[in-house]
Amino acid sequence: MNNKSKLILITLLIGLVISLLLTSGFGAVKIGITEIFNILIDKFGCSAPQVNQRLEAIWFSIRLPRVLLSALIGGSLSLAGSTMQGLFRNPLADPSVIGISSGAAMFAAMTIVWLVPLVGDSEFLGFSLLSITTFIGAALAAIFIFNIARYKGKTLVSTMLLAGIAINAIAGSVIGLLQFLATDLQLRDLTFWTLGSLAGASYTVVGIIAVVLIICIILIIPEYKSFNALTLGEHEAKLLGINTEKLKTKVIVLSALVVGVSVAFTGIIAFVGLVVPHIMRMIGGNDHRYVLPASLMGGALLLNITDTIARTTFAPVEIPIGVITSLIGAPLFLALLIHSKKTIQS
Amino acid sequence: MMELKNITFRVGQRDILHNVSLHADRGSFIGILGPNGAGKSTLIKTMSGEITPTSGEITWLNQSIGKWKDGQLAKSRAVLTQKSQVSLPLVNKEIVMMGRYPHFKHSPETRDYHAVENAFHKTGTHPLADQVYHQTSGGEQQRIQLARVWSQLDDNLSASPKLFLLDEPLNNLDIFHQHQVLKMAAEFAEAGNVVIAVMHDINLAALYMNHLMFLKKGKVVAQGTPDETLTDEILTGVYNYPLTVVDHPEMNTKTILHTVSNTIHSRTK
Repeated sequence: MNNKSKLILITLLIGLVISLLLTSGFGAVKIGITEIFNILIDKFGCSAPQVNQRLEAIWFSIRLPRVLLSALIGGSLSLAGSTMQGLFRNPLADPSVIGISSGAAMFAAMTIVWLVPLVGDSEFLGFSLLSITTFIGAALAAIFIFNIARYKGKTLVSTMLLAGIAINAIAGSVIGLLQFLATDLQLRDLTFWTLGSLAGASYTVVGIIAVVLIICIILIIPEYKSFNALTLGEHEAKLLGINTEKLKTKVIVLSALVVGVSVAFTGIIAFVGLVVPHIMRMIGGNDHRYVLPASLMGGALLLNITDTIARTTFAPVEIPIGVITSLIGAPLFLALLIHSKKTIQS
Repeated sequence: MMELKNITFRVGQRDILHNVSLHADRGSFIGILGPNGAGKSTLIKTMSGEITPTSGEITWLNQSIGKWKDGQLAKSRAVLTQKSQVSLPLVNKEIVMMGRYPHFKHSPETRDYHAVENAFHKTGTHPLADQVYHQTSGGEQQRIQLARVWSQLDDNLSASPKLFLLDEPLNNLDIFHQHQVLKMAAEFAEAGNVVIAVMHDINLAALYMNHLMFLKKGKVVAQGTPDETLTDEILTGVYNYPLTVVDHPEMNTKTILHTVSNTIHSRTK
């Protein structure tokens, strides 16, 4: 990794911390940065200057989980995007574009409308029924796409994108049908899935997503050599001693896990996994030793800022964050398509 | 050292390779020659462990190639394949560093940087180190890939011999660089390793290599030293084209001359 990449990573990390502190002050009640510091000092038991108890309660129970969730989801989706792009060896592979997110959302919808009324909202090892079924939905979509798009060790990009369209269409129509069958209460939940929102933030959700993301970080980021070697093709990577079969299983399971759990709690937030890795590659190059951690932190930073815009612009009403990310992401996706016309044709 | 015993590779009803045997000792620089579709690349793939032959046995350092662990084998043999594409616009030094991946776990060490540096110098690609792979020419890309596999076999920690497999290494290269590559390979073999290369240029093979194997339709037509294998009869049979073998006027080897019908040649006058 060269010095420029290191500098970008450090800048992103510092930027993320500053952004989390600043954006946690924004909202119906504005909390200044000095007040936030006072709250923090007070919480850590040191003798603090005068702290407004009401502000402290708002900051701790509403703002902090919200900004942490936005960063965790942004980091998760971007990391998943950059690993999928590494595996597919193509910058267009995004969990929402190739149908993994909608596969998860379809399973979420089926769970809400059919399964929950049947078995109740049960829990398994601390994970809700919903997060398990969304993981299964994401994993099935990922396995399906991966197998259909690969031919003789290469990725057929057009097949990958077309299969993504098909899965998105299937999921869209199943969710549509379920909306038709759903009760009013279920309908509200379903709308939430399809548009994406971080309004469900709580420390439980933050905790679950943090655990899943940390597992992914530990297992995926050290694989940077494998992702780099894969750019030469699967056969060449094997000749360099890379166990490509193990890598594929690992990437599919982990990205399905991280996308599945993200969708379970926040719905479909599209294009984050496409936009962020793309920006990171543009500014710092394609070495995965840089791209993977940069996408993680860049995604966290970007979604944190986007979510702040989503919840403050028309306050007290929130714009669904998935709408904003799609508005920004879809045109960029089109631009990428036009730019990579030559590779798509092959 | 390297031993192939009666290798057959069958796809459907067709034998891509039929009963191919080869023996290579330390210092061997072997050329595999023959017309298009003779099975040359397939043979290289069986030797690299990329594909498993239908029958027969391949051993490298007394161990069946299939029994080697991927990671261990990657330190012991390197392969320059015919079409090396890179799907992302990586910088050349990042690509050459990939050759070191079998040698370090997470971060490259000093000796890995040395090996990369060395490979750039050896292949004369040093000025390209900071350029993006996709912005270099076909011949330059070929030499970058060569630098990558060269760095893979750079190993001063172990004295055990290395196996270097090259599938048409001279593709896209001009005459100067063709000789540069062959000289590198010949010196590497000389140092106690084994080099096996698929070749099209018989004259260059005769100048550098100490063992030639001629394949046609998956079968070995002839193999031995250049002096033993380069005859009018064998070559004309292998390539289905009239070729004349003569003594090289300056070197102690043979060289081939092409002939065409007089009617075509007269047009050039």
